[in-house]
Amino acid sequence: MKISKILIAFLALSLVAAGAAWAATSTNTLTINATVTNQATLTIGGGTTASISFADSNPDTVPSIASSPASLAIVAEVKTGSASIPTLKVLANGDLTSTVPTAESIPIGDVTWTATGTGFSAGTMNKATAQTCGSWTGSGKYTGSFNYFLANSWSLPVGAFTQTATYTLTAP
Amino acid sequence: MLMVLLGVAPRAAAQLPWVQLIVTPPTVTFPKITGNIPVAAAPPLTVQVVAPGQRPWRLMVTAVGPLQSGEGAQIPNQQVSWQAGPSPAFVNGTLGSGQPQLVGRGQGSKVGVLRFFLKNRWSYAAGNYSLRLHFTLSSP
Repeated sequence: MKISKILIAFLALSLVAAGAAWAATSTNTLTINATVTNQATLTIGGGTTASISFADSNPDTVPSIASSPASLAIVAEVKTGSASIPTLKVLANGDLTSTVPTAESIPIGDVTWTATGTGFSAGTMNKATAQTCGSWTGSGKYTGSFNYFLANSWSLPVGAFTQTATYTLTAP
Repeated sequence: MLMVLLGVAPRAAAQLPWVQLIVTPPTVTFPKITGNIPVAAAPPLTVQVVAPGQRPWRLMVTAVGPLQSGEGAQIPNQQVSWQAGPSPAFVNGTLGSGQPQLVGRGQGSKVGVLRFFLKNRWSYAAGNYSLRLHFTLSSP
């Protein structure tokens, strides 16, 4: 009696399975292609340009003047080969110069920066050689910030000084 | 003699053209993935299901590996999705990693349109990628 029940149950199960099977099939193959190109996008301070300023300070109490704003946010977005090394470099376009009240200059090397964020590095401004301030491996969106400082001293000339620096992000 | 007939009959039945699937074109190419566009859209493709009468059918798609470049870089299949119509026969979906995904189900012959989309991510390595999809149309 027990054996009969098992046989009936097995037969019922077989019929259900046969009814659910997908007997006829037809297949096609589709090939999808995509091209990802090298690309680099850089934003500093939330845009393509930003400015900082250093307030006049007493060198005895403020030997290093922090910029205002205190930091600039940096976003480097890169698409490159998985083993390639994208770099971020900065080149000062000259010394800090003034025309009022007289033509004066402050060496751009007196401006330094510190960095936060993976791959970003601290450095000193240079008008002759671009300085590396970021380096990574492969594609990605890299975020960080730079804090700028001006070395203060009694020997600094009087005046309103200005200069620009150019940041270049390269995706090899 | 009876044994021979029983052996031949099921084989002949299995070869009947119960359902047929035609996917055209056989290759689609995403536009170059550049800029800050969130998604790249491939040209639409046509999926034609031929099923006599009101024969029910089910259409599945299976990715054969990930989107892979010649240099070995990969883009996960989950970044690829599709929009399909007309509904309810054809449904939207996202590619999985080797698991068949439902593209459509219905009865009788139908023609659908599929359009694939690729999410744009800064994490993608530059390169030329390729992926093969197997569409399988089944009918009981």
